[in-house]
Amino acid sequence: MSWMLPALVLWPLLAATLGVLHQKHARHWGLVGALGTAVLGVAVMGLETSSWTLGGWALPLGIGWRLDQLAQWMLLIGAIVGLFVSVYAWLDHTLPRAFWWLWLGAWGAMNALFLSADVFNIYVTLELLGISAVALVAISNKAGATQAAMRYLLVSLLGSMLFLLGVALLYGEYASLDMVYLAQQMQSGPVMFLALAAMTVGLMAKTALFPLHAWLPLAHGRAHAAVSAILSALVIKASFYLLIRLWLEVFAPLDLSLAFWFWALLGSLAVLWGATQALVTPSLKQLVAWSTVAQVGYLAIGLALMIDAQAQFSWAWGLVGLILAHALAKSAMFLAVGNIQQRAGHDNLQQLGYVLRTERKTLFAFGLAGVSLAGLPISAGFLAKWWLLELSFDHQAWWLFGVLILGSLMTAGYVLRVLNLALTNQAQTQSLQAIPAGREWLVLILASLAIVSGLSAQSLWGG
Amino acid sequence: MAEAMGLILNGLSLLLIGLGLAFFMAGTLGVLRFSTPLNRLHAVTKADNLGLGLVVAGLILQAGSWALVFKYLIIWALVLLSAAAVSHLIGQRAYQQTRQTESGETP
Amino acid sequence: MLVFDGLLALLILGLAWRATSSRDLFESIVVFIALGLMIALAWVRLSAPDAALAEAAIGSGLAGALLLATWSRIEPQTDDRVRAFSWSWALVFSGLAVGLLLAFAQIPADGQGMMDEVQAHIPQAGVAHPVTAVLLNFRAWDTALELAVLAWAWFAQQALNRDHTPRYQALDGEVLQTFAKWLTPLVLLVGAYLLWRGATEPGGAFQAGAVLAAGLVIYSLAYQHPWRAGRLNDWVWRLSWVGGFWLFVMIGLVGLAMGVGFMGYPPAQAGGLILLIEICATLSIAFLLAAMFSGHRDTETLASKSNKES
Repeated sequence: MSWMLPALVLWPLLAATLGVLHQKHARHWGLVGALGTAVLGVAVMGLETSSWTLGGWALPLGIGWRLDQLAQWMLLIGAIVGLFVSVYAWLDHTLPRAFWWLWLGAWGAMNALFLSADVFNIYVTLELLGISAVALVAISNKAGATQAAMRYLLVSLLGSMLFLLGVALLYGEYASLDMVYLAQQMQSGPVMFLALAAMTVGLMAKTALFPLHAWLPLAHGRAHAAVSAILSALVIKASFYLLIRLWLEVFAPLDLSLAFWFWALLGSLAVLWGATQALVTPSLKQLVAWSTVAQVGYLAIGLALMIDAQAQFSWAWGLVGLILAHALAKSAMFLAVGNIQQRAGHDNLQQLGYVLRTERKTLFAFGLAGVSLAGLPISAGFLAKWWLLELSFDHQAWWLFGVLILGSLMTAGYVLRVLNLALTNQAQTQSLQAIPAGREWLVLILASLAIVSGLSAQSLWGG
Repeated sequence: MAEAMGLILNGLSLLLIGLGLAFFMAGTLGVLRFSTPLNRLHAVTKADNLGLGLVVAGLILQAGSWALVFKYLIIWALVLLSAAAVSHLIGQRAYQQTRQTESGETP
Repeated sequence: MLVFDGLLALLILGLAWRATSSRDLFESIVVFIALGLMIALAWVRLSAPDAALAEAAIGSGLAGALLLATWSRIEPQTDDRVRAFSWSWALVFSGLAVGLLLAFAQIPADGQGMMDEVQAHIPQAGVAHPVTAVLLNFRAWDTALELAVLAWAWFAQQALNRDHTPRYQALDGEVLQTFAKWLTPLVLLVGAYLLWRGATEPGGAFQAGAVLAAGLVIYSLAYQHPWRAGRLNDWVWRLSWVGGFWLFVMIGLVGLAMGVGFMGYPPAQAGGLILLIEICATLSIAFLLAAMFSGHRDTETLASKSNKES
């Protein structure tokens, strides 16, 4: 095993620990940790895919780690988004220093989760991830942050409990916790359907998939911009990654003929409901948060199409493309909102016209990210959504076709809602706060990545 | 002879444990029936300490080794110690509160 | 025994209902503590003394103490809202309960899990007790991460509120102080015993750490401030919170370098290394749990307090 794999988990945790020990310089330790973790996350793309057991104990006794292409891509997405968010946070002096050790704890936990092939070990990483993510929401000093974090905590704990219940049922039935082994042994039966149901509901809650999404706009509305970017771009993707693993690998041998309808319906409802809310909400940050609810719906639709395709697991690249596109676009959007919000001192859409007009780079970044979210050509989002359209065409799921098109139009609608404001002739009503110029460039580069990765990522699904 | 001894020991041990349980019951009843904290405390500490002592004495008669006897005695002593300390605390709080309400202060 | 088990199960359900439905927060907490003790009893009946010890010490004891400490800091409150019975939730959870019952009937009753596998590898594990072998050797990575979870829980708590000492009540007399003094050697003895025993019998770092933490909690209740030994630097305290985790993974990395795999030990040294890790883990757990209860008065907090006062 390459030393890089343990380092992916231990490096961020070490930097976080040093930050706790040496609190005056937590910020600097945090940046060091983030840079190192990002480099490692990119470097892992060059490693050979393989699997290992920890401590030298053969399966089923030990804990399995595996690095396959899916894990590599998830680590890479974490590295790119994590790098940008970290530099942004470093330039944001309103963040308390606890942000650093909590964020690096969450990052280390996510990396441990992506590497693990052991369902109980994954539960432990979910605990570490959950506790850090909840605290990240709670460190905001906005009114209501504590209540929102409390709600997130309860949802997160309930989700973990249900996941653990599924783990116990799997262990009781097959006396193993390794995902590969479980997939080989998997046989249809009521117990396995119960395990699948429990784990799915638990992970749906953590992913904020409709109808278990209510915690997300609440938490986002009150969290720091950097925290929102982490939550929307990465943390909810970690639980969605587990849904991919469970449905397309571990439980794939079960008869999942109704699964297409389950995921496609929930996904469609999420797309339409999230977008509708984004079209009417009065606050900019809530708009972006509701957009996440909608975009998670696309992920669910992608999962539905993959399950129905009975496609091989290696086909899941379209899903990776969706995750990548959303992670880049949504983190860019939240960071852009953070710039605007901090400049104006609020995020009340109706009064943002003047600020939006003066913040050209940030506004442009918001627009670019919106292009990718709506799935306009050449962006990463376009490729991902094209893949969805193609698959639903193959399946002759015409109604799904309609939902996808409508969802994209609505996305364009709520993005334009923001862009339009910049065209109104609103006069300056309040004094503006200064923000570091670097943050504007940072957001612009991240948003450009959301477009450019569409050009380079075509190889992902061979077309 | 040995059998008879065993029978007597068993009987005695059963008797002691039964008595101990009766004290526990009485103590619990006291907690449920009495109205003020101090009264309840009075009932439960007396009855439980004695009850546990009787149960321990009964178990000692059944114990096969001195090590076990010693452990039972330690358990009893530790429970007595913590019960004494804790009931002192509860009593103190209850006393403070009654005094406060009697003198009309807001607690 | 069936009658006893049935009564125990009913009692657990009843206490759980009471803890969640009570309108008085204090009552809920007290019932929750009792619930933990009953669950510990249930673990004993299920022949899982390790889980019983952990549940009694952490689930009931320290969790209860943490809840009470929190309760002491918030305004006394009763919940007067009229509660609507939620049919949808009732449906979800009764569905889950029925499903679990069915699953319970389906899963092989004589399932040994990985017991055979574990027993077969005990000779190479360095410890004789299967639970300790799993926790500290076969699945060491899980345990290391659990230590990280505990540490990060405390970091999170610190991030949210720097001053979280419980609101102590004034004490008359010195009964509690004397009690704490008498208890200290016993607590140390029991903690060390549980730790040592973990190699061959139920026990180990988490239980021992919880017992030590309970001793520290009693100390801070008696003297109304967190326990601090002499003039130890803040650094020592902070290191004590993370020392268990980092020693664990450092040894795990040495394993990687020596070719036995990440989080592995050379079999000949396994016993000694596990004992070393358990000692450090015990101290970390004890100080983390105690800090969660009584807060940690570092020089910074003290400085900011005296600033405010002046």
